[in-house]
Amino acid sequence: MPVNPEFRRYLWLELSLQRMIAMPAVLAAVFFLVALGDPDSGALSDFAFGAFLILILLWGTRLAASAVVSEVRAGTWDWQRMSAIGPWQMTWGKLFGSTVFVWFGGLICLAVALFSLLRQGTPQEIPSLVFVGLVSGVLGQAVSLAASLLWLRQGAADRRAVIATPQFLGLLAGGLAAYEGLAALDLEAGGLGLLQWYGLPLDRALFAVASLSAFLGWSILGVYRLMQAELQVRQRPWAWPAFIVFLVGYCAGLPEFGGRAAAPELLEPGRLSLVFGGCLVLAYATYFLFEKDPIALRGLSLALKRGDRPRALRLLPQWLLASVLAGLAALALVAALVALPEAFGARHFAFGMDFRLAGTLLVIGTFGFLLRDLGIVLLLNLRGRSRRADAAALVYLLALHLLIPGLLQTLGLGNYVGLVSPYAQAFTLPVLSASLAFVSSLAPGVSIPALEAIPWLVLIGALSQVSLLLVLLLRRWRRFQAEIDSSLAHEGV
Amino acid sequence: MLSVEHLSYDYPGTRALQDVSFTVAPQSITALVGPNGAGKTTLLRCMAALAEPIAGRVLLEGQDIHEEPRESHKAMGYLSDFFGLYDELTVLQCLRHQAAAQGVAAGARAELVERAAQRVGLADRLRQRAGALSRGLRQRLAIAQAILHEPRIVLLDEPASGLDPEARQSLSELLLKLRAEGMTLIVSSHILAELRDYSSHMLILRDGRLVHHGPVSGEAEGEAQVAVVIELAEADPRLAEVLAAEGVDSVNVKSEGARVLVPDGAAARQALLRRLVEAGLPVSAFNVERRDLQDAYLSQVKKGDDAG
Repeated sequence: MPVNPEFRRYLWLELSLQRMIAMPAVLAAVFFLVALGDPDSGALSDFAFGAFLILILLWGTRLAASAVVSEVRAGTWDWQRMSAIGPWQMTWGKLFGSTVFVWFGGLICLAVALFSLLRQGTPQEIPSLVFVGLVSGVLGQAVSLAASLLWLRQGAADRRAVIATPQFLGLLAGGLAAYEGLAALDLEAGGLGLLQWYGLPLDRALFAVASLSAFLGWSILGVYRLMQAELQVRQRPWAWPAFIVFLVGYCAGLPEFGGRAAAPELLEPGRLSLVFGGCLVLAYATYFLFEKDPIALRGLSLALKRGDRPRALRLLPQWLLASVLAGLAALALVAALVALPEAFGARHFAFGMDFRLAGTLLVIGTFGFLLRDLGIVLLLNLRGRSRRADAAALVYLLALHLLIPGLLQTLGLGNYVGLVSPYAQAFTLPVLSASLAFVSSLAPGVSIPALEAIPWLVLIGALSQVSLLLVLLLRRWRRFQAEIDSSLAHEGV
Repeated sequence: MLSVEHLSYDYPGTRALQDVSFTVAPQSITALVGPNGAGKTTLLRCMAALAEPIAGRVLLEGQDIHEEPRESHKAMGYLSDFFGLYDELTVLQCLRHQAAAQGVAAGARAELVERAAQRVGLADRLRQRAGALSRGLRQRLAIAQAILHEPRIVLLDEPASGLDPEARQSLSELLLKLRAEGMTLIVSSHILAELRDYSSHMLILRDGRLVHHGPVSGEAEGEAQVAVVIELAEADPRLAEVLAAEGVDSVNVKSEGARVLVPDGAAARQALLRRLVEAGLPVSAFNVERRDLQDAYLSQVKKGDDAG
């Protein structure tokens, strides 16, 4: 069987004889001390599993996040990009190769934990511990690697945060997976049981296994797709939108979110409000995670002009697709709100008006504000370098959604915060979130005590600012194109 | 072999390449020249399928390299101007990794590794760590990595940058050897002196535009001429007559000497020298003057300016 050249290179680099001796020696000494201190209880298994997680998550995510970044910095990445190593080979070569040393140590820790469990007479815990340990480890490392590749695509190789931030994201994902997985598969605490997902009674342990496996699959697919892009393999941008649909659909079925509407009429709008909310969050994440390369946008514009549909499809930016998904979710939610029975609207109010109308205005307005914020991000990215532009955009968005609303509240103009941010408006989030149950649980006829004009203010604020941003974007875009064209004129082309 | 068709590439605020088209002749060494910022590196990266142009395409034997870059890379070698090496690996490990990464069959790797090491003169340093090599030797190792899989096209971006004269001379010899073995090379530099020894063709870029692409004097059929400087021991007005009678292109003729263009080749030069001696002219020197690449570059840039 042919050996993955990238994996073999890491074996040469990472598994020197000295390291192969040092790691087990250090671990053996530590475990011996722990066992000596507490020979009978389960301290050794807990300690060994903790050591496994520290090695795999804390150190492993660091190594995964720096796997490609260090090559870009050292000038060796071009060799890899010019090689014949395919994206899949490179994905697993990097993922398991860059972390092979911590896996070597981690597997020793895991073996000690399992041995200790056997000695304690609790072998039934072994499969869940192994599963959760391995899946959360690979998941965390894959998220780190994927995030570092995303940052690299934004030209941030020389920044320190290009490793620290992906490592943090990987730690978060891996830690969450380990925590949730262990909780769901905790046999001693009666982890076995049923949970409702879209109203279906499902075995909690099986659901956890399926969920962890699915997220692991997505994380590896993410690395694979980004590696394809790095290796110049042509691809269409379907994976991230598909992940958004999956994640939002997955969460909307969980009982913690969509399944608790007090009134039966609100079950569907409740779920859709969660879908919309999820799409909003992921759209914002997309705006900052993915590249907003104006040159690629110019390529898209040229491809559209030429009628080159395959190229245009390939160059579709992720921010556009994420916004379209949020728009579709908003449309679905509006349709569900409008479809509520008239009698419901007559009994339930928000902002002193028919709940259905208030909800519709807020949903459209909120989507409008999403587009405004996208406009700000794009406007700044059309001006300068991506990471700085993103940082500036983040400051502007924080000012618009926190600072200015705070100022307005202080000045006694709290009813007008909807003009700049729908999220800061009191009662907007409950209306927009799955807590529709909260609204419906109010006594019939009880209105949320707020100004009736607020939903209209949100809508007007959104539409006016989207229009302004559109004008500014068009002007900036023309100037951006003109700069390139004038460089040609200057050169006499 | 390799054709570039209407290639354009943009950076924010500027166009790096504008409608560049040319075809590289097989088994040639093309000197890619131009001032800093002319677009040389961008062009090489587009040709290596490491950067995607905004318009145009690069064809390698008829196949658009941006459609299947991984396939094209099997036929290409590329050395970046800011290349790095895996410093912790030995020279042998670097080469073995490169062979595997380029998809060389396991059975053929050892032979190719040995061949590449010998070609660049590193056969006696295989056990040395790459990080311990001098700059010149690192450059050789990098070239060995770029050519190890026997690519048909080799793209080298500023390969002689930072090398001492001896290392440059050895690089020139290596490139000529690679050409003789059938490879086609494109070598960029903004220092013309280092290209003159081995270039067969010259491609001039300026402000992202192709100013000139063609053979360096003496390479193209039909134009195969070299400059010959003739000196007489004492002035003789018959020199111009004899040269005119021979139908030689005179660049500059005076009674004490001349600079003329004659067909490249020993036979033609010998015939001219015999005729001059038979005419009784006191020939004291008869030197072939290899056309300087810098002269050619400046004359082509001037032509481009005049045309513009």
